[in-house]
Amino acid sequence: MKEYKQKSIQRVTAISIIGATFAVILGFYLLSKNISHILSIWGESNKLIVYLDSDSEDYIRRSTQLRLEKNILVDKVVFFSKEQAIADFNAQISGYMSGIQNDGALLQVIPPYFEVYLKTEGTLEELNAKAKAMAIEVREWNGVEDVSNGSLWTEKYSRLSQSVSAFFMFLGLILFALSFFVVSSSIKSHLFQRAKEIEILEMIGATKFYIQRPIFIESLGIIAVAFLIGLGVNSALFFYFNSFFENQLKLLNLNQVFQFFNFFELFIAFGVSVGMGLLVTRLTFSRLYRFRHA
Amino acid sequence: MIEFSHLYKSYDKKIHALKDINLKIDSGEFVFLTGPSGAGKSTFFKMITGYDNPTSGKITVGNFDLNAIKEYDLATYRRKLGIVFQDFKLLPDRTVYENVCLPLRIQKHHESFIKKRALEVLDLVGLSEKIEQFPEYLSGGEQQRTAIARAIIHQPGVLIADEPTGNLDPEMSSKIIDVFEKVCAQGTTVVIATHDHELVKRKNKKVIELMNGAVHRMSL
Repeated sequence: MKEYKQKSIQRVTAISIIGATFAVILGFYLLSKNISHILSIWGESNKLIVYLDSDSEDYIRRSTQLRLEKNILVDKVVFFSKEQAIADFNAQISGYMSGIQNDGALLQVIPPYFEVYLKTEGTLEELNAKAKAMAIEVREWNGVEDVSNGSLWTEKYSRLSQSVSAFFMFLGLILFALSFFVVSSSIKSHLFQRAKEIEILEMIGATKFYIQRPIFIESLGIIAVAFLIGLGVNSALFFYFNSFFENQLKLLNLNQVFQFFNFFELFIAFGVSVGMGLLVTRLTFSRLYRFRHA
Repeated sequence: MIEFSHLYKSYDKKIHALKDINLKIDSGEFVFLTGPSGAGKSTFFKMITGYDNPTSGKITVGNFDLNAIKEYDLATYRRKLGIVFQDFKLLPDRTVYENVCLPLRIQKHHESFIKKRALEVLDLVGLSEKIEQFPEYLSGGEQQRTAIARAIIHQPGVLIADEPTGNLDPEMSSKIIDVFEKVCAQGTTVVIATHDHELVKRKNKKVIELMNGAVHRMSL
């Protein structure tokens, strides 16, 4: 009975350790996924500003708008006339530099412009490259004075996004290696404590299949329960933080962009975990036999 | 049935546990294996059970050549053995009944047959009242009888027992030897290692005496 209890304690210990490891790994994956997603969403407002010549004719404005709208990369084109541009400028700058709105000569150089919103297909890097290429092309058009694509900002943003992804990928690899070690140690310790049982079964004629099958099933059970614990912890944290951002930090609107695991990710994560458990059990069996026959 | 031919077993090339063993035990024979501690009795049993391989020489049990036996065949071979270990080797997290049933469960017998046989052998060794007990709550003698019941439940071709009466009082020892004799009468070859010279004298069976790893004396 004492042994039976001991075995149960061993199982609970293995489940707890592996469950905690899975909770950390799944948590980091969820964090990385949401940070990357938020960065992508924030980086999605990628647009070009196409400045027209101050004295450009109305037909040039219309033909330019038409050409822009026909471009397959463009999602939406919004025109700002010279008057609107001056009004916007005044509204934004007068608070800082009073009296500038009376400088007629300066205001005269403010051109009409188009805000050209690009389609957000592809990665941030692809979007950036497309915007850059389009800016070069549009700059050559008749009646266009200049094109700003905010490339400096988007490039820096893109680099930040890449760095964050690389950091989380690196961390993910370390955690994966660590989890392999933790799962391996737990299963190994669990199996080595059953070495005597395995030896007795062998001596009374049990085949390897007969001996290993229940232990493989048990390992699978431990991994599955541990995975569910890890997932449960992450679900609880996810819904807690989601409601926190919804109720306390409404202005960031983060609760609307947070993403949980999708079915495919869960399937892959579960498959990898189970695969790892089976591999570790198999390796431990080999080690156990080598150890015993040494 | 059991044949050792020029069998040697050494550990680390220094310790010679068995030296030039040549013997033959016929099917259905009852044999006592005697000798002082360190004489090689346990190594002798390890050779028969296929737990260890000889350094040189040949050992065959029935149709099984243990020098060249494959892993899967080893499991098949061991199902034909009944082994009573000196330290009993009971599974501590299973009841007496579950321990005794193990050989038949491994051989995938029907549950009703397993139950019938288990109750028979437990009655034979006087443990009918203890079937739901876990080994840790049993005395040394009861654990030994559980191990004996497990060794005979599947009516093995060869029964080997290492000091099976070591923890039993004289009355129970006598009963257990009677059980072994009954098993032997049904065609099982029985090899018992013992220090109990009185028992050996009383039973008047074949005796193999080991000394320093060699056969010192063999008598009928």
